[in-house]
Amino acid sequence: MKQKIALVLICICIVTMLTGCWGKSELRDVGIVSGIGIDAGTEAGFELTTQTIKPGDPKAGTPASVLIQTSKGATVFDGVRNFIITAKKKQIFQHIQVVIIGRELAMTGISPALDFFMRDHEPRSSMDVFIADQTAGEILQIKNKDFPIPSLTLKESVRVQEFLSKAPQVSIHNFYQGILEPYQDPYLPIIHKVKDNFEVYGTAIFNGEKLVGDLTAFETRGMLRVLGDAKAGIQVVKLPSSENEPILISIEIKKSKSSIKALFQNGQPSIQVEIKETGFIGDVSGQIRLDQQKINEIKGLYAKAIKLEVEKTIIKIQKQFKSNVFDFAGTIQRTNKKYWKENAKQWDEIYPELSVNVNVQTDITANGLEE
Amino acid sequence: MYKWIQRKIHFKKLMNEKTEISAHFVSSELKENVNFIESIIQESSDIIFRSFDIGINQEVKAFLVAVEGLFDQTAIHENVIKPLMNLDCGSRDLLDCLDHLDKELISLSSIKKELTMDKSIEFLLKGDPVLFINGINKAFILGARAWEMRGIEEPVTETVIRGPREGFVETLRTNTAMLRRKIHHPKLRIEQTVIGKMSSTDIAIVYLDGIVNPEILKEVKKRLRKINIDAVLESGYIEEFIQDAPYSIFPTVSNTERPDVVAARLLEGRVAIMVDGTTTVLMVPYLMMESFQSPEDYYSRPYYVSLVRSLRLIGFLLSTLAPAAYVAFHDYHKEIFPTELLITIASSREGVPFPIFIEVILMLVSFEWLHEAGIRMPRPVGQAVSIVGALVLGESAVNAGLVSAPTVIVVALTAITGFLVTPLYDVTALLRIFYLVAAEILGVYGIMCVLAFFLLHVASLRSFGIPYTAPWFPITWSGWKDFVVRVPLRNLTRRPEDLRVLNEVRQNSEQGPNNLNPNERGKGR
Repeated sequence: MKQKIALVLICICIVTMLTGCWGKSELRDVGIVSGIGIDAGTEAGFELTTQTIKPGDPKAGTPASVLIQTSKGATVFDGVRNFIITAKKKQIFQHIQVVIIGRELAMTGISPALDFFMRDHEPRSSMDVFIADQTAGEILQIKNKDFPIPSLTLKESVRVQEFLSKAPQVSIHNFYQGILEPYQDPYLPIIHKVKDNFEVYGTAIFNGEKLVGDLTAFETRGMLRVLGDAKAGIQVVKLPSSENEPILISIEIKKSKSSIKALFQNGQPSIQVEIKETGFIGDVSGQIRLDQQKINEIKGLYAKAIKLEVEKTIIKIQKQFKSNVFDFAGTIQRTNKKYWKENAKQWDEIYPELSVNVNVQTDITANGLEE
Repeated sequence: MYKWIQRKIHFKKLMNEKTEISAHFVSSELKENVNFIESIIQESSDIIFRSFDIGINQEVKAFLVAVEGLFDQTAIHENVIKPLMNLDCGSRDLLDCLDHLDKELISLSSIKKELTMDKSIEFLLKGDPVLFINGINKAFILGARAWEMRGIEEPVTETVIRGPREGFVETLRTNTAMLRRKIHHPKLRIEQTVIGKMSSTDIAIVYLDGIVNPEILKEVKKRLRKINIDAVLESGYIEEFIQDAPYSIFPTVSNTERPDVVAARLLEGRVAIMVDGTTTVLMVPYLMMESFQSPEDYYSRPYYVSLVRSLRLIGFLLSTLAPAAYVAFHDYHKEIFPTELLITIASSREGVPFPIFIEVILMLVSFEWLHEAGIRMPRPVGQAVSIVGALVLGESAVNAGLVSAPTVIVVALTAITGFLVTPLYDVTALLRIFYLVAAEILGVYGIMCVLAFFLLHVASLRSFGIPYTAPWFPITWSGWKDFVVRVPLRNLTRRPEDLRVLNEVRQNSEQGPNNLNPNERGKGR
C-alpha cells in the first residue's frame, strides 16, 4: 500500500515537473499580434511595426480593430520584447498572419529579420511573408474602415491570388526552404501601398538572402507557369481579323502543368521546360465563328503567348538576377550526378550561360457556348 | 491507539454475534399463543386481534391476528370468518373437521401451516393474517395480503416517444408480474430471498435459465448472500454492496424503472435484482456502452438511431471535456483557436473581472446548484427557480459583464449534453471538474494526463467478470453491431458475445423478405 502511494506521488511529481514551459496567460493580459513589419532602422538594428488586435465591445457595438505600435531593437527579438514599453502588455505571436519586410532591409539581407520567426516557438510556420514596395511600416499603418483587421485581409488577398496567378503565396516555411537549399533561391510577393489601401502583385526575386529585383505581374505568372504553380488566371490572346482591330479572346487557365528536364549534349547541359496548359474560352470581344479551325488557330496563339511570357521571365531571372528560383541546379544534379560533382563549384558561372528551351502545348477544351 | 484498535475488534465481535431467539413453537393452548403475540407486539395500534367461535353446534375458540391496511378485509370476512362461524360438521368432531381446514373450508388461493411462532409473526408483519385455533398446534397463514397501491404509471425518469408507457411500482409482486407478462416462458426464473435484519425486504433474482451464464448467476447469489445490513430501503443499498469497484466513480451495476428494459436485458443474458418497495430494478453485468443505449433505440428504425447513438457518444465526450478544453486553449494554447474565433472570444471577455477558470467553475457550480434545486424544491416554487436560474445566471450575468457569453455557451452546452447519457450523469459531472482543474494547472497536457488515468481505470474495471469497456476494449467485433450504430434487428442474430451467455443464438438469420417463399411474395399486393 505504501509503495502504491509512493508510486502515485512520484507519477504526479513527474507529470507536473516535466511540463516544460509554464506559459499560462489570460487572454486579456496579452496583445494578440496579427501582423508585423520589419524595416531597417535609421541607425542600426530594426524598426518593428505591429498590428495588435484590439477586441471590440459587443455590447457597445464596436467591432474589433487593431492597434498600431512601433518599437526598435538591435535584433528582432530585442525589438519584440521592447513592445512591452509601448504596448504595456506581453505580445503573443501565435496568431501572426503576415510578416512584411521592408525593401531596404531585404536588399541588405533578410535572414536576420526572419530568424526569430523560425526559431521561436510561438509564431506559426504557415504565416505569409511579403516584401513591401517601400517600407513595411507604412503598409501596416494603413487604416481603412473596410478591413478593420488588415492582416487578415492581407492574408486572404494573397490566398485568392490562386485565381489570378499574379503574385505567389509564400509561407515562411517555404521561404526558408528556399534560403537553406544551397542551389535554390526564394521569392516573395510584393505589396504596394496605394493611398489608404494596399495591393499585392509582382514578385521579389532573391539571390541567397538578398533581394535582387522585381518581376511584374505578368512575369510573375510566367514564373509560376514554369514552377507549375499557376493554378488559374486569364490569358488574353489577340486574334487578328479581317477588320482593323484584332479580336481579343480571354482564355481562363484551367490546368497548367510543367516539367523541367535537363538534357546533355557533348557533356554540356541544357534545360528543357515543357508546359502543358488547358484553358476555356471565357469571352470573345468580336463576332467570330469558333469552328475547329479557329480554335486551332487560337490554340497556336495561346501557346505563343505563353512561350513569350515564360521566356522573357526566364531570361530576366536567369541572366539579369542570376537567381536560382527554378531549381535548375537540382534538376541537373538529379539527371547527371557525375557532371554535377565535377561542376558544382562553377555553377555560378555556368548558370547564366545555360541554354533554356521552352516548349508549350496548349489545349482548349470548352468554348463556353453551346453551338 | 492500541486500545482503540482493541475496542474496534471487540465491537466487531459483538456485531457478528447472532442475536438468535430460540424457536417458539405454536402451542395448542390458544391463550398461550395470544399472550405470546401480545408480549411481542405490545402496543402497536395497527395490529388487529379478532377472537371468534368456530361452528354452530359445537364451539371451538379461534383467534385471528392481522395488520390493518395490509390485508384484504372482505376476503377474510367472506372466505374465512363467515364459513368458519357457520361451520356445521354434523356428527363429526369439530377438531377433526378443522384438520382439513385448508383443503375444504377456507377458499383462499394461498394458505400455509406454520409450526413456529417466529415464522408466523414474520408472515403477520408482512401482511398475511394468521389464524390460531384452540387445540391445534399450528398457525394458519392466510394469503390475503393486499394494500393500497399506486397505479402503474409511466416512469418520469425514462421517457420514450415510442414504446410501452408502464413503469415498475413499489410492490415486488406487481413488478414480477409485469415481467412475466413480457416473457411468457417457463424458463423465466424468479428466485426470492430476504435481506435486511430489521426490514426483511424481499429481493427477487430474475434470470432466464438456459441463457444466463451460470457463473454470473452464482456470483450474484454469492454477493447477495454476503450482505448483512439493517434495512434495504431502496435497491441502491443492494447496489453499493454488490458492485465490483465500490470506490470507483463509475457504476458497475445498471438500473431502470422500465419492465421492457429489464425484459430486454434478461433476454441478452443478464440477471435482474428486484427489491420490494422501490421502482428501481438492478441489472448486472453492466457494460459502459449500455449507458449510450435507450429502449427506444430498438423500437425505432435503425438509421436515425445510429445517428443519435453516435451523437450521444460525442455528447458525452463534449460534456466532460468542453469546459476543460475551453480553459486550456484560452490559457495555454491560444494558437488552437482560429484567429477570428479568438478575436470574438477576446472581445466578449473584455471587462470580465474574473480569470477564466474562476468564471467557468463558478458557472459549472451554479449549474449544479440549479440542477439540485430543481430536483429538491417543492413543485409550486419551480417557476421561481427557473426564472432566477435562467435570467440571473444567464442573461443578467452576461449583461452585467460578470460572465462572458462564450463561457455561458460552453457551460450550457456541457449541461445539455450531460443529460444525453443519463446513466452516467454523475460520472460526467465529476469528470468535468477533474478535467477542468487539470486543464487550469497543466493545459491540454493536464487534460491528457487525467484522460489517460481514467481510460486506464475504466479499462481495468469489470462487472461480474465481464470487462466494463467491452466491446471496444477488449474488442469484440460482433459487439459493434449494437454500439455506435445499431444494425437492423434481423441482423442482430446473436446475443452479446461479451456476456458469455449459454445460448448465443437469438433468432435465425434468414428472415428478410427476400427469403420468403416465392409463392408468398406476391401476396398482399
